[in-house]
Amino acid sequence: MSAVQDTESQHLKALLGITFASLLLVAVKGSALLQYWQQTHHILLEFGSLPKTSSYLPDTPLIREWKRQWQNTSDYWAGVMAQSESRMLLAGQLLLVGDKAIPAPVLPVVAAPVCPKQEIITQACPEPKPIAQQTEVKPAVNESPAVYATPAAAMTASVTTNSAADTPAPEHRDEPDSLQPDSLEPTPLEPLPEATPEAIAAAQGPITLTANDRILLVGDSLMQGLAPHLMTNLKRKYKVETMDLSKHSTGLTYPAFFDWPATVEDAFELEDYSVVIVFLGANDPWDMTIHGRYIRFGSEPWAAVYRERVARIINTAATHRARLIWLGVPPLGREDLLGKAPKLNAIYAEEAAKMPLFARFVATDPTLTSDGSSFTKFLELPDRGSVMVRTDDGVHFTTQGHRLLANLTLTQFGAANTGKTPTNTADTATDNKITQR
Amino acid sequence: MHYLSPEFGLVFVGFLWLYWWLGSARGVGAQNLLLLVASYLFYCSFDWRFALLLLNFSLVILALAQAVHGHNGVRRRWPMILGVVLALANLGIFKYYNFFREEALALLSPLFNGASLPVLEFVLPVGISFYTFQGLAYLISVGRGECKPAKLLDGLLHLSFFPTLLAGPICRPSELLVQIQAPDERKVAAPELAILLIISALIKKVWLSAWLAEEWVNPVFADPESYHALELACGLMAYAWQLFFDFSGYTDVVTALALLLGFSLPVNFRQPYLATSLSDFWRRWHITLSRWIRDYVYISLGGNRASWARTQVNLLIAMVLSGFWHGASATFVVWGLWHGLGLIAQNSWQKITSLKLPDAITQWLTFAFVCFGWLLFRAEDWRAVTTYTAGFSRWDSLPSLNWIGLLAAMVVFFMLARRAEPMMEKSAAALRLLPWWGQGLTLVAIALLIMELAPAGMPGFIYFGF
Repeated sequence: MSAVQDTESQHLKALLGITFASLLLVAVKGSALLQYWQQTHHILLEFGSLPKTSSYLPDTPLIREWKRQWQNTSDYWAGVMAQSESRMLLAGQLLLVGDKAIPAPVLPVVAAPVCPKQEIITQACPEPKPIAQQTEVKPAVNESPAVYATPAAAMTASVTTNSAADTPAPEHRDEPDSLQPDSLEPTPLEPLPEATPEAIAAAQGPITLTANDRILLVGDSLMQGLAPHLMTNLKRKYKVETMDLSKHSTGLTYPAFFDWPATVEDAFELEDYSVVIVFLGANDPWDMTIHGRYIRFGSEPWAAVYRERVARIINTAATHRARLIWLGVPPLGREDLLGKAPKLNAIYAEEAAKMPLFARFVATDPTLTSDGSSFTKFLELPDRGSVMVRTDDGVHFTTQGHRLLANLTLTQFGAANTGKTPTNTADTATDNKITQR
Repeated sequence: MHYLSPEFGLVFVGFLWLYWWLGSARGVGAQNLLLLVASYLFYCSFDWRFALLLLNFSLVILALAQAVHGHNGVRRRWPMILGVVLALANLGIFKYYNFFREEALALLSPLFNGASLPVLEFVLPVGISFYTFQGLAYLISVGRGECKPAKLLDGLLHLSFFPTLLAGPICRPSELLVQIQAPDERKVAAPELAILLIISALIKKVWLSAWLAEEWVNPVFADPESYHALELACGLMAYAWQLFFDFSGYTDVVTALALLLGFSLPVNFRQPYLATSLSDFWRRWHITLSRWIRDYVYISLGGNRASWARTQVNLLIAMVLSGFWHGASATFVVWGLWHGLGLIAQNSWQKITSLKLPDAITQWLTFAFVCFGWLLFRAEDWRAVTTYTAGFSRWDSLPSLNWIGLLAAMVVFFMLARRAEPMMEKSAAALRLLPWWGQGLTLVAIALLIMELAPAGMPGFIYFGF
């Protein structure tokens, strides 16, 4: 190579090029970088966030017009691409499986939100409202001729209004509400079980599943590991389909990075799930900033904000008459996370207890620790001796750990009309004993 | 700190200025010292105990290498043997103890009631598999008289050089140590190549590998029972390419880092899925590991110098050990066995018949064989494998994923793989014509584009677990 005599200029060129590129990237992607930083290192930078790139452009009508046109053009092409892609796919499916590939005609549900019964029109099809008012609609629903005007339901309703009133409702909740009539439509048709003490006791028994039920999985990387075990077992035993939305590095502390309450609401807009299983929290024991205010993990204001996010998920499930299982965070073995799980679990348990007919909190500590509360990497199991249940990072699980957790979750279910005891649903006889320990 | 993370990038850019300033002011010796300090600090950012372990390992290996040469010029054998035993014991304790413990317990428990082995809570030090092999290669080279024992600081840097520390390439002393020892001023011969490699890494790792994982591999492997046979096949092919993009993208970025520091690293990947036979595949996939296994396991066992049958046995042992190196789990051993048996079948075929199939067919056979191997590689246990393979008989349901899109992507990948080398050369030539700011702008533009296209979040590196 000709570079031999001018070595100096060559590495200088590399240095300049790389440095220039990094500085430019930091300038352009500064806000994303700050977000990443906060998410991974949990350090809040004092100087706030950098302005977005587009704000560097002068705000003249011409540039605004350009931006709009660019948006339109890119939206148009995205639409064209998606359309041709789905046509291609349909053609291929036809070749592969014949007529089955032609989608069944979709009946009115999507086409026009028609309310089927006269007497409930007013309740079932409310005007679009922000969440605070929307939860207040509930008592009205309960007053309808059906059977569900009960103390527990009234209590639930008052709790939700309170918690919604504590903190301002997030703005983005407004638009999905216009779809609300659709998803609410079937719910008043099925009368709620009475929330008498017996009903609550019954609600705490195994959740019955039929082949038509759909299950939604919500969680972080811990759920990502657990999900395959759950999905396979649920499918095998109850023939139910499961939707796994879990995403690594997510939680409820940084909604700017990933907004779980909104994601769950959106999921229900698309499909009616009868069970939601939530496994969140391992990414959450960090400080937050709310409107520029710095809030320490575990403090009163922190708990209030966090509680509201938990409640939003539970409320979404309850509004759609779905059962919710909230799996507690297991003890974490990483130094900076030690002892933080119980604080989160207390919030989940309290919030779940406010909706006894729908939500339940399932502590994972008894299954995953030797003494019931402290981090255990190797667990003494009957038959197998001591096995490693947690990975080296002190957070995640081994396959063996996932099995224990899956069995614990499966004990919450029972098939309809078979009168099975809940533990019969567990994976194998060996693992059965494990869960009962 | 991982190589593609923003914090590493920013620290590294600052480090580069210091490094090259030091080079012009104080020379190569000072640069080496800086590299050594930086490498240990880098390793400490994972865990300071890892760094202590590495220091301990390096000192033992370097001392034994010194002990190889006696006063009268005779080479001794015992330091080499002792070093191999110690290094493997070290690796065994940290990587394999719990595997052996659980397997041994499972075997013992029917025989002895209440059998137990002590539980030792080890954390797998990241990169230990790689630096152990690099250290052994150095010690054996000295033992065989291929190179002289290194000075302390040079030797320490050879075993801790931060670009290669976490996941290779596994360098021979003739490749890395020689460059460390060279007294001449260090040079960056082709800066555009470094930029091109970074771009290539971004495309492979941040975009394609993450996209395949998100859209295909994770959903299909998470719940194979709910997918059509065609989707399972697509998922498996997607996983094959994901692995390649992940690891070769990683190698690209590491090679670029080394280039910017004035080092050149050995090639680790040469379009492996274009291989027309299994032995060809292993000459193209993770080359630095394959040749390590060949040089120090296969040839040490006798290679192909004895009978044909003995050669096949040696091959099988080498492949099983290679599988076991990848992870302390029975599935990796089975994966090694799969490849070993495949190689034996291939050799037997060649011995029986001189019939030569067209390249297109052998290439597809090899790819299919390798893909099935990856199923064993990924599976957590045997049940996962049987569940997945059982799905290949499911042809009645309707595929739900965009399999046509994936098949099209596969075709594109294979076509690009064929043209990869001339494409890289042409791009490098084009980049070379640009001034420094033009090269920088190109990098930024492509990086921004990839960030738009890629799924959100920081992708992890599959090979760090080994």
